[in-house]
Amino acid sequence: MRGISKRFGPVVANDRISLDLWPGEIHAVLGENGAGKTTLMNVLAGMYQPDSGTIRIAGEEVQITSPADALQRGIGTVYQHFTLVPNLSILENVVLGEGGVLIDLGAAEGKVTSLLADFGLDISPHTEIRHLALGQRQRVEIIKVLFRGSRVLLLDEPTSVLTPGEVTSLLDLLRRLRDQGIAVVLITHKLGEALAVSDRVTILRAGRNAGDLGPDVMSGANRESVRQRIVEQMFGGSQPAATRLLTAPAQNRVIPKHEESRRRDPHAETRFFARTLNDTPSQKDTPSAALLSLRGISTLGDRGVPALNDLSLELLGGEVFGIAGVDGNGQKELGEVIAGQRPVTSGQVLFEGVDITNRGVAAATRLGIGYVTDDRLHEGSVAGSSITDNVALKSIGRRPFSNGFWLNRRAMEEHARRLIAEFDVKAPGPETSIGMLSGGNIQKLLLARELALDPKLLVCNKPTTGLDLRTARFVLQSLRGQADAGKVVVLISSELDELMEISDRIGVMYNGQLVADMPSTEADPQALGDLMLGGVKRSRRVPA
Amino acid sequence: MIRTGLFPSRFAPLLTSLAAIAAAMILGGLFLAMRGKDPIAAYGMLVSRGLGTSYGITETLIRMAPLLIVSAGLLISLRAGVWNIGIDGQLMVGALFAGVAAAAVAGQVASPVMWMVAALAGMGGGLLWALVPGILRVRWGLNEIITTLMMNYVALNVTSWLVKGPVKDPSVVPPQTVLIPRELRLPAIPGTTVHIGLLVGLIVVVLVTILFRYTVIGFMLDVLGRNRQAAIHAGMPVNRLTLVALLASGALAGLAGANDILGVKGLFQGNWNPGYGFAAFALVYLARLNSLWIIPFAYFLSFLAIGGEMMARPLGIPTYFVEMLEGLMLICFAVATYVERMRLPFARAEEIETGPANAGEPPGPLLGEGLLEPIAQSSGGQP
Repeated sequence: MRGISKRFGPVVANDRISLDLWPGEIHAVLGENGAGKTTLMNVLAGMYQPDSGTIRIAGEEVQITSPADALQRGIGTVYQHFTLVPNLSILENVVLGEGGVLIDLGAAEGKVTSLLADFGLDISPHTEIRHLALGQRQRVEIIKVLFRGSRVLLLDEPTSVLTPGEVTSLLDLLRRLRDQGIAVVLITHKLGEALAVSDRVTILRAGRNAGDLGPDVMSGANRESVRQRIVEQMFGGSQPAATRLLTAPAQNRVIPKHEESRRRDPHAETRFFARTLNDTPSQKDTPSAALLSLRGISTLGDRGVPALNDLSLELLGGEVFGIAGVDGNGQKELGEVIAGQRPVTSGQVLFEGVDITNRGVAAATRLGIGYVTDDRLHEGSVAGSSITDNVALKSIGRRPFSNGFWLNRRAMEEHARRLIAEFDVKAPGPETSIGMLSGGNIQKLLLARELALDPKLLVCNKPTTGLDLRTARFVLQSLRGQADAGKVVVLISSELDELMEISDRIGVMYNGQLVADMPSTEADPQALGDLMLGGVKRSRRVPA
Repeated sequence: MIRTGLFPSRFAPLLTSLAAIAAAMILGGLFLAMRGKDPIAAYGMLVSRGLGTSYGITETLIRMAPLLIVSAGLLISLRAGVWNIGIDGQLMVGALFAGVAAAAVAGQVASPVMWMVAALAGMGGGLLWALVPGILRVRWGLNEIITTLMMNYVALNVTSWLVKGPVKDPSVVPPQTVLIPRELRLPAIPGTTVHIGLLVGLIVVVLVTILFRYTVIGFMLDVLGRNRQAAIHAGMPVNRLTLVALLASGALAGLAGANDILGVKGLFQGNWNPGYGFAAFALVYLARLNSLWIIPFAYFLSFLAIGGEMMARPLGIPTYFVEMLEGLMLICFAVATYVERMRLPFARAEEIETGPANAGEPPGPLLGEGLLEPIAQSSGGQP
C-alpha cells in the first residue's frame, strides 16, 4: 500500500500511509484510538475506497472495490465484532456467502473438519455457533476466511474479547499460520501482544506513518529498548504548545492549588504515597477519610465480557482524579458503576461511608453523585425533547420541578432559562428541541444539569470530545472549579494533555484494572502512554 | 418521530394523517372500482347514511366510546415505547369479568354501584391479562410484542371456555353470561339515545392528556418512550414504568370491555371479539400519539365503521371493506411519515449531519425506522 489517504468530511483519517506486507510475516499495526488503524484496514478489506494512493498485490496494481472483491484477491478479514450467525452450524457459517447455487457440502465438510483439527478445535463442524465460547468463535471466523483461500489475514483488535489463556493460544495459532506462509496483519493497541508475535511493526499516529520497525529490529535481543521506541513513536515527546488547552496562568493556578490541598491535610501526602507505593492493605484500614471507596469492583460490559476486574480506588475531597486509558479498557464501565448505572458482579461501592453498591442511579444522584456520559446524543439527552425537559430530566421527581406528582412547568422553564444564560448556551429558547443544538451546547447543558444538582462527586466521561477549544476550556475550567470548591471530579479522558492540565492525580486503566495511580506532577505523557498500552510501571506491583 | 404532544397548537403533523386518509380512501375506491362497484356512489352513501341520518350519528357516537378508552390506553403504552398488541385479549377478559361481576350484583345494589363494580372488574381483568406479558418483559426481557399478541389467542379460547362452562347462564342454550336487564344498564345522555359510556371515554382521554402534560409519571413515560437509555441514565425506574404503561393500557382495554357490556350488550357471549385493537392502532398513529387528537379521529373511524356497515349491505360490498380501509390508512400513514421525514430537515443532529450527502435519494427501506416496523408486520396480510 502506497500513500493511502482517506478523509471523512473535514477529518483526515489516513494521510499518505504506506504499508508493506510480506508472506510469512506477522505485521502489527499499532496506534492510539483515532490514529487511523481501522480506516487503513477497511481500505485494504475493500470497505472504503481510498481518496488517493495505490494498492499492489504481488507487484500488480489493483482496485479493491468491495469486501467480496478483497476476499477474491485473498484478503480475509476478521472483525472485532464477529459476523457469524449464532444459530447456524460451523459448517454452514463457513460456506455462507460461497458463490453458486449448489454447494458441495460433503467436500466442504472434509475441509472444515481438517481445519478445525488443525486449529485445535475438537468439535464437530455441525455444532451451532451459539454453543461456542468467544475464543472458539474467533477461530471459526479465521477458518471462514482461510477456507476461501486467503493469503492475507487481517485481524482487528482480535484479543479484546478474549481471556488471557485464549490470547496465548491465539498468538500461537497466528505464529503457525505465519509459518504456513500467510501474511497476518494484527491491528491492536496492546503493545505486549504486538511485541510478542510480530516480525514487523508499523506505528500510526494521527493518521500518518509514525514509524516502521522491520524484522531486524524486532528479532533484536533488547525487548525493552524496542518497547521504548514504539511508545515514543506512538505518543511522542512533548506536545506543541498550541494544543495546550489551558493557558499558562491557569496552569500555574492548578499546581499551587494542589500544594495547598496537601497543606490543608497534613496526611494527604503520606496517603498519596501509601496508595501509589504499597497498595491495597493500608487502604482498607482508613475508609472513613475517603469520599468514595471502590473495593474490589468487578463488572461486565455491555456484551457480557468482563469489563472491570477487582478494581479498588479511593477519592478524597477537593481533587480532580484523571483516568487515562485507551478506549475500551473499562473506563466507561467504571464511570457507570460509580454513577449507579451499571451493577457490579462483586465488590463494594462506599460513598461517604455508606454502602451504595448496586443501589441504582436514583440513589446515587440523591446522595450527590453526578455523571456526564460520553454519549451525549443517545444517552445524555432526549433529542426530540425541549431543553426544558432535558435539563429537568434527572431531578424531575423533586422540588422545584414537581411535588412528586404534579409537574411545575414554570419552575422547569425558569431553570432552563437560567442555565442557558449562566452557561452561555447558544439556543433560541428553552422550548428548543435539544437535538437541534450543536454538540458543544448540548455538552454545556449536560454539564449544567449536573452542576445544578451541586454534586459532591462528579464523573465526566470524555467531556471535551468534539468541542471547539473555547468550549473545551470552559468545560475543563468548570471541572477544576468544582474541585477547588472541595468537590471531587473524576475525569475520564483519552486526551493526556487535558488530564495533565487539570488533574491532581492520574490513574491509568488497562484491561479493567487501575494499573497506576500517581500525582499528576509525576506523570509524563510517555510513561502514561506506556502504561495505557499495558506496560509495567517498575516501582509498583502490577495486579496479575 | 414522537415529537408531538406537548404543543397541540402545532397542527402540521396532522396534515400527514389527513393525506394518509385521503390516499387510503382513493386506493379503497380503486379496489371498489375493480370489483365493479361505483366508488363515488359508495362513498356518497357512506357519508349520507353515516353523517346524514340520526341513526348513523347515534351509532357512531356509541361506537366511539370503547374506541376512545382503548386508544387512550394504547397511547399510554406507545408513548412509553411499549408495544401492547394485546388490546383485544385484554378487552375480552375485561368484558367477561365485567359481565360476570355485573350479573352477580345486578338487582341487589343500586345501579351506579353495579356499574362501578363492573368497571373495576373489567379493569382488573384487562390488567390481569397485561400483567403476564408485563412480568415476562421486566423480569426476563421477553419481547412484549410477541407475548401480548399471543395472549390474544389465549384470551379468545379461555373466555369462550369459561362462557361455555363455569360462568355460563344455565337457563339459556347459547354460551353466554347472565343478561343484565336493560333498565339496569348505562342510561342515555339526556336528550339523546347515546349511553353515558361516551362521556366516560371523553373523561379518560382528558385524564390521559393531563397525565402526559402535567404529571411526573407521564413525563417519565414519555422520556422512556423517546430514549430508553436516557431514562436509565437519569435514574428513572425503567422496569416499573414499563410495567405501569402495559398495565394501564390493559386496564383501560378492560374498561372498554366493561363499557360495551354495560352500555350495549348486557352480557358476554363466547367468541365475541369486536377487534377494536387494530382500529386503535390506526387511530393512535393517525392522531400522531397526541391524546386530544384521538377524539376527532375516533369519531372518524367510528363513522367509517358504522357508515360502512350501512352502505355495504345495500351495495353488496363486503363489510370488511372498512377494515381494509383502516389497513390501507396505516400503510399510507407509514409512507406519509416517511415522506414527511424526507421533506422536513427536522430535529436530530445526526440527520442534519448526514442530510446534505443524501438529500436527493431516500436511503434505507420504506418502513425501516423502528416505530413503524411492528405495524407493518401486524398489517402484513393486507392487499
